[in-house]
Amino acid sequence: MLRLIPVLALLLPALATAMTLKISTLYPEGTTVVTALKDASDEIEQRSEGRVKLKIYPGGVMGDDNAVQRKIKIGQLHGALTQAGAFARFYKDSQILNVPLAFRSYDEVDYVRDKLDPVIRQGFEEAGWITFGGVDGGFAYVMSDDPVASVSELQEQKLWLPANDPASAMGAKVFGLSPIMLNIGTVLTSLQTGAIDAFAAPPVAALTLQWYSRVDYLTNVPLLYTYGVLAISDKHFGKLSEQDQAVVKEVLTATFSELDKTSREENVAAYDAIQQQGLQVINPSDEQMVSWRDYADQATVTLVEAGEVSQQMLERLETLLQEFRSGNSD
Amino acid sequence: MSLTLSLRRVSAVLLMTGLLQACSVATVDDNLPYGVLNNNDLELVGEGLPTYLLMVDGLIINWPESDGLLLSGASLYSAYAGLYVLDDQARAGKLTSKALDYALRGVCARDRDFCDVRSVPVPDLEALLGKAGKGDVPALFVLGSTWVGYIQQHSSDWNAIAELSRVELIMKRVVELDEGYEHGQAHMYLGALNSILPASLGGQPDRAREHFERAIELSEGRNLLAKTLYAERYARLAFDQELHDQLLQEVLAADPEMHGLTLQNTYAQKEARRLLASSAEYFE
Repeated sequence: MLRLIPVLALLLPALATAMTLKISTLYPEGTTVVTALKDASDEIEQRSEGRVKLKIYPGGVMGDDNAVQRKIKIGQLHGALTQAGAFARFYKDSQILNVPLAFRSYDEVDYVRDKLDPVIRQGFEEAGWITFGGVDGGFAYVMSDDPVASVSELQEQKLWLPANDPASAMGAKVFGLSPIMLNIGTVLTSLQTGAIDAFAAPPVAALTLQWYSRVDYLTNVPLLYTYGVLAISDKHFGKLSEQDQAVVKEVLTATFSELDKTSREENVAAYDAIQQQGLQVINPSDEQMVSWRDYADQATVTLVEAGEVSQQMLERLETLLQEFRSGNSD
Repeated sequence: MSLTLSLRRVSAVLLMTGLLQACSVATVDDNLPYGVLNNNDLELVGEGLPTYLLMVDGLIINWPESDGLLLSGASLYSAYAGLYVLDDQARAGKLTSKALDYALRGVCARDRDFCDVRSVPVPDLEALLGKAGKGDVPALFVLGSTWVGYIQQHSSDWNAIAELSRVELIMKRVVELDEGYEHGQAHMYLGALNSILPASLGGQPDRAREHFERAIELSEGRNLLAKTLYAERYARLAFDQELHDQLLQEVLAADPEMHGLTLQNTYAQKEARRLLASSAEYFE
């Protein structure tokens, strides 16, 4: 009897028509996100009676966003969890949440996302990508050697922006900045040598990459909201039976809802921690804030003109924000 | 009855004084921890170590300014948490906090300039380390390695993550001053620190590889943990299964006995077996 077991085990994979969804992510092994995806895989495998599971490639082992998308195209991979911007070219209006200075608080983000997340999800689906809800990436703030309260002070900084990111390059142009485009791996050294003296990033990134240790100030202007998304190509997802598709969607939606919550908590904690690490928060005056918003509005107009975000989607965002602000001012 | 008790008391006092003398005359890297570090029986050490830790606690209460005792206490608590308290994060967190506290007190007791290593701005710490000499290497190494253990167990705390730059500066300074210290282990730590993130997220895997290879070279291949970590951190990040499996096979084929490294090597072999078993699942 015991001898039979290995033989039976060998037969099992042949009997079941198992499908493994291969997912790439930059998150390293052992992080909350990778662990959560592996747990989700176990649940999917169990609930689909072994027909579907996920295989996670962590830590960017499959290459950068471009390499990953090539691999998805030829079927070597089936999906990726990355910053939403990496999929924006398939559905440009997904960038609506990244409009500069759109949000003044996380409460505003939550109000808007509650209404727009389903829209974004549907937009991606129509473009051939199945998504399961965004993961909070926090606000990006300016951090610098010298205090920056106004846009004109920001213009004086040797500001780092990521290379190969057309959207932020466009925004920088409208703000009158002459940013220094560098590969992400050289930022810390460049801050040390003084080749740059300011950058914009979420506190989580500034802490993880240790950039925080070479600047003294954080400007309390939530420049940009960032979020991540897991997108699986419809070409592969469509091969699953309807029943199995429903299982995967249900499990991953629950996983991402939970990840979104924990990421938010981490982003809020990182904002506190960066202050505990000695960065001083600079609060612009009301007048300076008006100027920040003026520049941001101009940048948004440019984004609409360039076709990065549709006028219709922008109006939707503005209506939601007005609703929230008038409701709150009661 | 009372005779036995008093004899016990006397022998305990004798033992403690003996230990204290050993510590006060010796530099940090000597004597006290070697009974533990040179052992090849993980189970035996795991059972015996708590008694040892409690004794060091007692000694530190009596001699709170002894840098030798404090730094030995730091090493032992850190090793115990790292090797034996793997499944209880809350407890490992507590033990590594205590280890780091001892290490910080230890470097402060040695040199008052180092009392604020945790709170001075990072560039100031860099300047302070610039003044350190070769004689500071053992203390700095204990501080750095204990701190890595602390951060590992507190990785959900952003303030701990922020301290990675302090640890890296300390280990870099150890390498500058005496890269061969403790069989080149500072390189091993720098390898691990540089392979936390992939290059696309700002990590430095190439630098990590160089550090791991140097650590292996300096130990003449006898530091098995350097190879295991090279496989686990770098080879997995670089998705290089051939390198991964080859390193781990070498670890398993090697003799773990080596002064100062035996316990660590025995642990490295245990880890190597686990990593090899999951190699196919990870890479294929």
